[in-house]
Amino acid sequence: MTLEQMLQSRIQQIRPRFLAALSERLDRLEVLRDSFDDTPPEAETLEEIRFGAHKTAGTAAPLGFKELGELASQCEQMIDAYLAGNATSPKLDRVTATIDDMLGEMALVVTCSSPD
Amino acid sequence: MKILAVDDDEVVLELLYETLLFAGFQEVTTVTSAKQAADIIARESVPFDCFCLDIQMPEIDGIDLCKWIRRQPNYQKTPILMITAMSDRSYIDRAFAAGASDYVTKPFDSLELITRLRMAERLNAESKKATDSIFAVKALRAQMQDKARINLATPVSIEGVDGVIDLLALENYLLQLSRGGKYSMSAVGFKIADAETLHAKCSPTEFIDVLADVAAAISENLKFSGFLMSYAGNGAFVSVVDGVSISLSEPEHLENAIRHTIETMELDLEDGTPLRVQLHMGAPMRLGLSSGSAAVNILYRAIANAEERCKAQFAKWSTGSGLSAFKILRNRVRAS
Repeated sequence: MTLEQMLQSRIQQIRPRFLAALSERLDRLEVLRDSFDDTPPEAETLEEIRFGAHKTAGTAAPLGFKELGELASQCEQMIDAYLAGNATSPKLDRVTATIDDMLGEMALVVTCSSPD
Repeated sequence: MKILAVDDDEVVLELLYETLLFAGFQEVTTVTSAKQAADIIARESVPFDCFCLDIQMPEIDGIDLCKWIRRQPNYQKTPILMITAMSDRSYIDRAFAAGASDYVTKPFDSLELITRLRMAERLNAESKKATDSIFAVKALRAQMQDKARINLATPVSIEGVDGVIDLLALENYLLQLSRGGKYSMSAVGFKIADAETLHAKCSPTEFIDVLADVAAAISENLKFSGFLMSYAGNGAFVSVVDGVSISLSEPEHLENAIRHTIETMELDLEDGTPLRVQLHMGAPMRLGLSSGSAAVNILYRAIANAEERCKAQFAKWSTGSGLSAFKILRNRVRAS
């Protein structure tokens, strides 16, 4: 086993705790997402979703969830751009779609991944 | 090396801990808030050798924590690595301006993180050596009887001036911008004319004071642009500036403005002898989409530009341009 493989093996032991935290985060983010199905979201709601995306983006890839990490990063940037409220800001439907993509991937990871 | 890692996400702390332990860093402490970090820093009798800080944390963020750490005794020079998913330029700018010495974006690459910590470990070991301890102005002032000279070529730390960071931190800042691949800034160098004479004339504390005053003059005139700057040794400064600012579209105007600011400072030695400090500015160099070592090379070319301009001005002066040898000598006497 190479040194890098040994390090990866130790890092993968953290996956169960990541998945547990992700599951809790997903529950909270889904509640927030449901709150603006019919009405435009409050800025605070988007901020909280952005924070959840930010935290996910920082840890998903090293633990083997590269796609989730990328979607979370895109979601964070999309919300940032929307909240900037300038001429180049994306429309809300694009932001919503990005959030849904991230939540979908989160659900997939939580459902399909089992603790080591 | 004794490391303190601060992040509100426990999974990140676990990742960091495992990575650092694997790399041989045995003394790693992790906490989940800036407040816990402040408590443990105040409590520890043996100082930490390095900090790894997340930026976005509830209540007190990593940048404010960085500023606080820099204000504590023993921690002015301690390596501080920001390890964060905040890749936006404004966060990078704020982090380095707050005193961060390096910046690693999450998700971090384990080997890159280890490499950067090894660099921090080497820096830490060097800064603990006795002859290098005179870099701190406070230490220098406390050692007024110490006749040790500062090597002119050494890029001593300039403290207490807005936007001034150590040269190595500026290099790391540039590397971060370059990785983003989406920034357009310029590097511009400044050089004190005849720095050798100034260095010989001044005591160590006087020389550092002059450097700090010149840095303050540059900082004052760049303050409307986004900028960071460093002292590079040999009387030269280098700055990375927002390339679209007005300052750099009119470089002669900027050079004259900085010179005027220096003149109004009425610099002098501690015995009241006036000092005439002339500063030359080199041609700004666009960083464009350069990356990695190419961007850092541009930084040093900007310094070289300033040195060449300095030499060119001196050559123009000393070859006459209509001046007689007597007038040249008279001007030099008046200047000193």
